[in-house]
Amino acid sequence: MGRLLTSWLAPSDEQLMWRVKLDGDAQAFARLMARWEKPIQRLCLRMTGDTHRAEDLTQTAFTRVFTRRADWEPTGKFSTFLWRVALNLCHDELRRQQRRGEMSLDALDEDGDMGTDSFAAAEPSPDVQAAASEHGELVRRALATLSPRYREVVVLRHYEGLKFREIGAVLGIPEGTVKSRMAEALGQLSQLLKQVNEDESCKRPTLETRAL
Amino acid sequence: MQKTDTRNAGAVNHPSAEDWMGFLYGEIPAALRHELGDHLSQCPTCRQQLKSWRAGMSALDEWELPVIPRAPRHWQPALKWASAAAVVLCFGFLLGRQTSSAASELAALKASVARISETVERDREASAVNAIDEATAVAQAEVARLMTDYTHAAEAVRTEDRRTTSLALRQMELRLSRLRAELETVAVNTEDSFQQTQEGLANLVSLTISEGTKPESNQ
Repeated sequence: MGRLLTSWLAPSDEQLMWRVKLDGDAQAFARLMARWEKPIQRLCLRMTGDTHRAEDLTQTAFTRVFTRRADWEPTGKFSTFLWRVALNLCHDELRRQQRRGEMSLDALDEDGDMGTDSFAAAEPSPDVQAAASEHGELVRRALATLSPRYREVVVLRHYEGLKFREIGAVLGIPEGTVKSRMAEALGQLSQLLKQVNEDESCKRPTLETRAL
Repeated sequence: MQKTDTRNAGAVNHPSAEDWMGFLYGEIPAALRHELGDHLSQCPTCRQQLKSWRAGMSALDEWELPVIPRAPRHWQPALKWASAAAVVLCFGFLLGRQTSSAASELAALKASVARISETVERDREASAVNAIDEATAVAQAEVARLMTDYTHAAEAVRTEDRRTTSLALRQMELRLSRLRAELETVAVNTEDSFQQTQEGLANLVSLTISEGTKPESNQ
């Protein structure tokens, strides 16, 4: 009850950001960070698959929001602005990883052609690897092989619970396009995981036979 | 509902993938949901497609993130030590409560109160004496200051009187000197007049004598 009353009385994100924009109010910005730190960190972690990079990207995202507070339009939602900044940073980071050869971003092309060779391309960080279940790790790797334009839609809709309309506002694309990408991403994931399961089921009897 | 037929042209109009995404994530109106549900019950092709998408959704649910550690707060070490100190204090307080008797505590408390009262009384007397001494010192200082002021004022008055008297004396001396000079002038003039008068009288006498002797000689 007390928490509900507090949430009602608490200023909205937009009110706090308005103070930040006008006066550079550090206290208001600290409250925004307390509200949004974890969602942004989850987004960065789902996009990059690395806990430490996700922490760094989160800090950078908030720093960028503060330094570019003048760019925020009061007519728009603060969260849209913040998601967009964080996603841009994630894309920059993924491009850097690609240049360093750490992972293959374009393992899946627009048509969804893929292979299991690219499935094992992205190595997880140790903490993620330790915490994830075996099947969860397969899913993480499958998601990492998706094109970032599909992955961001999946993360925002499936994991962070944004509406398709809100995702369209964040990405600056029509709602229908968001839904199309989501359908394509789910189809590719399903197909990829099915293929992996079939490969493993084919290998298992062979190993058992060898053991015998 | 967007009707698209991507599988068999001219046979059945299947809902679009966008509609099915809204259906799967609960972002469509109830009427459209019923309509899509009806279509689904009659269309094995769409059922197969939805099964594939749902498999993807179920797979996504299996990737759970590790617990994201909170960023360290600067007050956490202080809070930790404060908590430890509070625990130790509470333990000590409870231990003391358990090991001491109530009577001895009361006697000790009374003795403490008596000592405190005595101390307070002494402090009060001492403070009164100090207050009197301070007042006396202040009064003496004030008297000394007034005496000094009076002396300076009297000295100033005397100096002014001397200056005025000296000025008056100089003026009187000037007047006296002028008067003396005038008297000397008058004396000189008077003496000249006397001399002239004597000479006139002498001339007159001589003339008178000479005229008295002349007729006797003529006879």
